[in-house]
Amino acid sequence: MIRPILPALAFLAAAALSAQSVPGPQAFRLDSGLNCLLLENHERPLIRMELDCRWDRSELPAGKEALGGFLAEAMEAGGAGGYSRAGFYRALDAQGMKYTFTARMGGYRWSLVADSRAQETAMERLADAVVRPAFDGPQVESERRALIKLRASETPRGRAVSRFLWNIGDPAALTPPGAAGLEYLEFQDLLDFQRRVIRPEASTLVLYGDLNLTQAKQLALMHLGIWGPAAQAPLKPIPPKPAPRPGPEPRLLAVFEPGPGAELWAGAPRPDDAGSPAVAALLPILMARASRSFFGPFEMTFRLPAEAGSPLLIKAKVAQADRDALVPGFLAALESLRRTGFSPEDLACALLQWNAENSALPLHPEAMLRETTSGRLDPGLARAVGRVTLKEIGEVLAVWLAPERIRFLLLGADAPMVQAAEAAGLKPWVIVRPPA
Amino acid sequence: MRFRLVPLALSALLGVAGAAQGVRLPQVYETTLGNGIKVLVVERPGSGAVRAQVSVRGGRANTGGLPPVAADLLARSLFVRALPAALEQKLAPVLVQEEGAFEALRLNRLAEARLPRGATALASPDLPSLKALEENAMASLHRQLGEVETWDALDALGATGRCLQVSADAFSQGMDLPASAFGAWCRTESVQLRSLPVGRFPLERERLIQEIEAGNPPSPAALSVLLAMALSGRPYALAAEFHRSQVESLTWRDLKTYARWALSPENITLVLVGDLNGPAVLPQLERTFGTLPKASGSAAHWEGAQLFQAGDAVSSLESPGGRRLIVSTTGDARVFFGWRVPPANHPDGSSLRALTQILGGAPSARLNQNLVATRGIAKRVTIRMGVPGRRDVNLLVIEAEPAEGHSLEELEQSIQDEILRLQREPLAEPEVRQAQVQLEADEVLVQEDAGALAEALGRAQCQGGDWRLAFRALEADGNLKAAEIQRVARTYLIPSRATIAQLGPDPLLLPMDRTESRLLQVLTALLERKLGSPAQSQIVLREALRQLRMLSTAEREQTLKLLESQVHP
Repeated sequence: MIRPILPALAFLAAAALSAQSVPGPQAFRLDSGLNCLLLENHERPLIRMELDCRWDRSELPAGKEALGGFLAEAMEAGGAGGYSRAGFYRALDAQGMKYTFTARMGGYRWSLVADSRAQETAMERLADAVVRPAFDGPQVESERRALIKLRASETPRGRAVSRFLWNIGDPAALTPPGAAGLEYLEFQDLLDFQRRVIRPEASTLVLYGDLNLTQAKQLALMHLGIWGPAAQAPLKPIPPKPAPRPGPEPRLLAVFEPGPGAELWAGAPRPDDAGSPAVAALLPILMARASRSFFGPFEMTFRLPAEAGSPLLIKAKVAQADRDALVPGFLAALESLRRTGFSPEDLACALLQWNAENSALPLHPEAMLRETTSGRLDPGLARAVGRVTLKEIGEVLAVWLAPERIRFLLLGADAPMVQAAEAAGLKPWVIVRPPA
Repeated sequence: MRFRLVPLALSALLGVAGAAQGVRLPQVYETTLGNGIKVLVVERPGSGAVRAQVSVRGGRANTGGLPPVAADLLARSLFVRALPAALEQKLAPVLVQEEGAFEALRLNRLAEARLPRGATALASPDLPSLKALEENAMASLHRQLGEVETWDALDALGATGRCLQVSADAFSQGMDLPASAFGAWCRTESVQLRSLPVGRFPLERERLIQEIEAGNPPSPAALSVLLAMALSGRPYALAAEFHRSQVESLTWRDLKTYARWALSPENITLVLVGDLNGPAVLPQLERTFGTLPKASGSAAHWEGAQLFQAGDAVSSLESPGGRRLIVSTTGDARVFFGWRVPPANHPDGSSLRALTQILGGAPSARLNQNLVATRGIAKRVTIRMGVPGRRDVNLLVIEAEPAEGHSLEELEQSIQDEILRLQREPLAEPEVRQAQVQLEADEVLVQEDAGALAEALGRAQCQGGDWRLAFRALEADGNLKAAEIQRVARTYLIPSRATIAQLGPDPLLLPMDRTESRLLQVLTALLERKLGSPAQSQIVLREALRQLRMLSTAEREQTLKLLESQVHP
């Protein structure tokens, strides 16, 4: 890894640390346990509402692991409140509101942006979507069948990628590979799961924009106040929980397919001990920096999203001429990073970037809204980040990159590449071949 | 903190929406530096940061004889990392060496490709040494550029959220900066724009080739087919062409020459959004950006036809009659409609945008509601204005993907029906008001994020010479008229301005279902009896299968039975 020596770095990092801190949110809580945060901004007549509901992967019943993803599909296709799906969108469009629903393993998020004069209607629509989803049994069943059909028609590459991402605990992989987790799902399972996981005590409502604290409290109470805790015992606030450790899965999945190039992916689930929040804040920046400083016959991207539960994902792609170099070059780069870690310059650069990103947050309300729940705006975190040492980072990095935790995916493989991987100790491996 | 209900008059509270009510167009401080650089400043006092963007008019459609991909390579070479001018000078011998070796190898590959099938070329004795030379030069560049790739002068200023946009009309670089670093940014960026170091070109060329080879060119291939046909003779016709050969044909020196005229001051707009005061930063901007020299012959020019002017007759938008394309692809099936429409600054722009909104601008818009949600004919429908740009005659494009069990012909027919309905039936006032509300909401929303606002201002300035073009719905102030929208629909969405392209697998090679597969067998048997030439029978077969796709599944099965009875009476 190239280590630039920039004498001015220490000074710059120190200067950035003194940058102004971003004002924190105002917080309140409803009796139901719903946490509410407000960030006022009266510059424009807009209001952003975001409801983030977290659940735990362990709540997925055995044999029905696709429920999290399937519920997301059903909520996206179903109605809300007294509206059909089409009616719900008509009601939103009539007021120029922007609505999005996103799902990831362990959480659902509903977002709505509206003119602040329509804040009451906007909150009502948000509550419709969260508290009063309307599912139509036959429609849900046809979606389940369509999903099974879709899974069955996946290409070998698609199947292998799904399996790899599921195994490393990627939050975007909402359903297990293949149709297995979908086959025994029933409508009642869906309803039970929805009632269990979408609950106020595990949710946070963030309001941003042109409204004050009194308005925010009234809105939350009026539209979400009746959303009581679920019948089951309330869940504890869910801390970021690591994905299950890799089980008996093969270390290497190799997809044989024709094509000029090849790709090698490495992934590791988030470890039980991913370090302090301060280390976790800096590591994604350091990993991105590692991508830029890697030099070899191919480019490598190191991606470690800061989002809770996200795994480490490293990718490299080569053209035909450099195929032989892919496996040994990739493994050597991983080992080099694990052994040597990062330099003082790397740390100073990361520190500067983290502070600069923080100072730019007021320019980007949507990002600000996300970071309100991530803890990034906590002044204590800023102080802790400034005290992080290379030793701490090195220890956490060694855990992340422990060879036994890493799984590999080789796309566009051929026999010599698999032999090279086997020689490098990537066993056991599974070969996925396209149909003859 | 736990909240307890406070018996307050809720309606009164919600009626007080805060100080922001009534804010409409952004407050833009607008000025031009002595050398012609346009400056747009939006103040966000107290934010502690600045979004700084450099927009350059002249994108893929204005590369002065170079292929469109030159705009992407110039923007990436210049803006992805800030290369010190002194380093480029130091690298010049290696860059020249790499350029020569790469060109010689390219010509060798071309010569090999032109050989008749089966013939083998005599291996050039210089080939191995050329390859070694090229590899060594690249390795040397990687080594010497390594430091800049990891950490550059802008990183040192605390620049984050760096992004690069390239379109047919412009390219731009934007970034967030701590407000305290703004002065240093002015100095750094103006030095970059003065020296225009593009020494990173070989690295970016390799990356772009990889993207194209992996099937991810900067613009989708389907669009290039549509543009080439729909806008032939106009500047945008080739703006979506991305081929490996075009990338390989460009050299470092080509790019340097192109950069000199493309980044001349009169083509540059600086957009600054954040914690600064417009008049107060002007002297600083004059001292730095204001001293950039003009390049000779740098006025933005277009290859080929003259730019369409707002006063030109609408009839000049017509292509030589409506065109219909059927393209066999290996990808997903799609139908594209592209209508020629005038540029951004044309008076019909607002009504065209409202028309687009009514047709497909929201989930409950006509095409989404009728074709996707209700009838289930389409999997998805998207509608876009300003394809690929908005400085000249461009396209209003509808792209639709058929749902399973529905053919491209059926989908095309349904879209035509919706267009006719819009042209013939009176538009309901609530629908117009709804479109107005949605457009206004979009324009208020774009003002919220500094990056989105800077991008919108820079784009509008480059496309139409006026940032206000990004806020035409707010400027219209609720004044959209149903009759005006319908007039625009009848003026522009007509066959003589349309190009329709069906992209999908060849039915002869990939029948869409079992019934079609069987139909193919039966028709082949029938036609072979009647037509002697296999080529002629393939043409008839292909057309027959496409026509049969217009029928429902039950009707197609019935047709199959009838045809089978003729084959086996």
